[in-house]
Amino acid sequence: MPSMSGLAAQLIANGIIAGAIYALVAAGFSLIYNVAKFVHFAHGSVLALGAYFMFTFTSTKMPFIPAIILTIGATCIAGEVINRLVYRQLRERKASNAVLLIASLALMIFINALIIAVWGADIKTIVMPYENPVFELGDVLITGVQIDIIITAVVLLLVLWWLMKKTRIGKGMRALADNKDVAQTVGINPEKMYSIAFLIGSVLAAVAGILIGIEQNLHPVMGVSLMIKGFTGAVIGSLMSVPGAVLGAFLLGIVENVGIWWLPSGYKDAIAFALLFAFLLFRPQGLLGKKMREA
Amino acid sequence: MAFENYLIHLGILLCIYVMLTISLNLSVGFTGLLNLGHIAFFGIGAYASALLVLHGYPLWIGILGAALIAGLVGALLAVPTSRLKGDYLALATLGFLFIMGTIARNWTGLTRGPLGLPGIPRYTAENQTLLIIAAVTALAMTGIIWIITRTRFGKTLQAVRDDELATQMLGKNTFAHKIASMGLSALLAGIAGSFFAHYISFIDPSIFSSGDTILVFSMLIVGGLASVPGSLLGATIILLIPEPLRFIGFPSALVGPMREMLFALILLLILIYRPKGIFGKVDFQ
Amino acid sequence: MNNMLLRVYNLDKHFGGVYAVHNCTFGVREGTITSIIGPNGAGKTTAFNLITGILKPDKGTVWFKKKNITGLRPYEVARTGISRTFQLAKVFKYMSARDNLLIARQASDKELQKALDQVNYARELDTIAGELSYGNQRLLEIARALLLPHELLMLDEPTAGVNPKVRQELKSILKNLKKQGKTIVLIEHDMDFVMSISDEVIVLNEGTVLTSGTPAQVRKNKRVLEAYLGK
Repeated sequence: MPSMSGLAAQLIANGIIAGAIYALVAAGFSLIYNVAKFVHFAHGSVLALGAYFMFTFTSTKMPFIPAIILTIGATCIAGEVINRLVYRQLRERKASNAVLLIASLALMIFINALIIAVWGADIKTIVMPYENPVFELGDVLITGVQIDIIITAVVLLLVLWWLMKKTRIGKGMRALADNKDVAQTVGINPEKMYSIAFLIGSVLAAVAGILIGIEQNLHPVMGVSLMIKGFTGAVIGSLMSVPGAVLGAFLLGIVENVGIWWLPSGYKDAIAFALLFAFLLFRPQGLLGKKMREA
Repeated sequence: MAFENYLIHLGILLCIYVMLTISLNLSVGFTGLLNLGHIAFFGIGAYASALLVLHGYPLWIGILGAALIAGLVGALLAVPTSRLKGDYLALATLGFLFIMGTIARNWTGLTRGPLGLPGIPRYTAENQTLLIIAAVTALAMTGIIWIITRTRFGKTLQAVRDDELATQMLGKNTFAHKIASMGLSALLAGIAGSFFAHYISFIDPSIFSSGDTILVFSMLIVGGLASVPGSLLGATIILLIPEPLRFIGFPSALVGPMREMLFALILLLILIYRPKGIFGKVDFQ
Repeated sequence: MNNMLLRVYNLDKHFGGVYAVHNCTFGVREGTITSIIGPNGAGKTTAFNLITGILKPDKGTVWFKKKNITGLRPYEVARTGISRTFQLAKVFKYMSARDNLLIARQASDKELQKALDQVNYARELDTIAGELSYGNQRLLEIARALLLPHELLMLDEPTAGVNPKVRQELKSILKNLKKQGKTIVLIEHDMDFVMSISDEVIVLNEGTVLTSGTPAQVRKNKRVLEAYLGK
């Protein structure tokens, strides 16, 4: 019988693992939101595509690493197709943010249905060629895959941070996020930056999809609840910054998992939705954001 | 005989979707409130009516209860959300839909959770009669909305949509107008929900589906925001166009997803090439 | 001596540490035309927004017809009898000119047409507002503001962005209103116009009242010149 503090530690560990996944989702989504200034709600479905691509590639018994690379590549292509075929067309026609949001929801439905049509509605699993040992750290049980999740997420997020802060491309994207008109006057090409943001977002989505596919299983609407969690994390932290989104996502993971100490586990999702709703209504700038000036 | 039953079923579904689309038009097209959670009111109405009738109350109490409860929830939802701008409002209302779904799934004492509510009494066993009732209700709702939009209240709603600040400076309490609009829109959706529950005889938490809310949205957009005939046309097009898929000979497992892909595609095409919809004169702001 | 219809006392409004309006005090007499002038960023529109309830002052009060209207919501302010237009003409773009006007007041088509003729609006009652030229939108907005029952009319840069012909029409409209004894406050940049039509000129600079008086007095004031041209 684990001690109270042991149980708490396990729940927090679970929270960090969930938070790591949510952070990958939130980071990609938040990048696109800040650079391209709209809610790309189909991001979760792109993640699901990544998971299913991985399923297909590993089913051919190809080695693991090439499968990962192919999956990431295929997901990036899918992401750019969405960007060019749908969002760019709308942008060129001066569509409002509301229209882009609705389009992203239509895309979400389209991709979810496509997944069912191509792969079927049943639950699938990705068979790992490696073992998945369980480690004991004090009272906390954690699997090898779960450790991988945390390490991968942290590494990728650090790479993303480096990209945004230290590279020219990152600075270009941040300039665009800050002020589109001024950024253009210094020669930044918005569409090029949007494509890069989508590329990075797709990479993060693909990785998250692979990790979840391995850790849990695949089902056609897996992207929807992850999108909601990632989005909620971004709102809680701050929609206006990528680090804020990451922080909020980790926070959400922890609160969710610790919260089910008191509530039945079916209410896990309810916690996320309730937080999302409350923040959107009462603190839309998130924990870290600044209140926008009233017009 | 089977084909006739299929047509009647399709007709009833069309009437229900017309009710949903025209009620959504009031809050989105005429008032400019981007309510992505509209189906929540549909579900609330369905559950309210089903629960009331299953607990022994007469049918008309079920319908009335559905309308009032859904309308009240809609009005209450408008209170915190109406000061949110465009996409934030959309996301908050979508979040509300998710919350309702979670409540329906988890408050098993009231809703029986995922087991749903079976055996909901129908108005009548005759599907043909139900079709007539549905059609009359749908047309009545359409008529009510059409009349409302020509009243002073209806014109003020449109002014709120076009420029809320200017409307305020003309002495109108726009906050109260938004609450009334959402409340009425929700009330009508609740009635549609009640009808649905007593037609299908079984409801479960899957009624709170985000896919359905976007389906109704696409009917609204395709027909044209703020156009009453547009809502009728949009519902017809979106519902009917995927139907031939049933007959082309696709394996039945494929028909469902293909319908979804088709209506999502239609919505995307309309958003890109004709965002005002077929009859609409209003854009999204 | 006319009554002070509108008085503002010690209005303060800051945004993120910067004062948009500071210790702003002035009054508007009934039956007069008062112009508020000042360089860009002087706080003129902010003052309008504070009076009409769009913004809440951090300090200070607003009095209209001897009643304290500070902190009232915009629609409540409008109902006390203040009608205003905006820096950018705000028409209901998906509604007809007729419907635009009807929001202000129930009236027959004949009365509505008269309201539009009064401002020399050049299109029909049925024309959708979004299809009008900007000049006509401005005229429609003013006709709508005039139709709303009011005792004080506030116009924020009515001549901005319109072609010279419309600008002339607006000037004659204001001259007519003045003849009718209306109380008007306007924000304007056209100095000749301001000087020719105003009974009182208030000069705002950096959020506070620099000076006020008759056009002649203000014209001679050195500090006003400095404020506009920079020290």
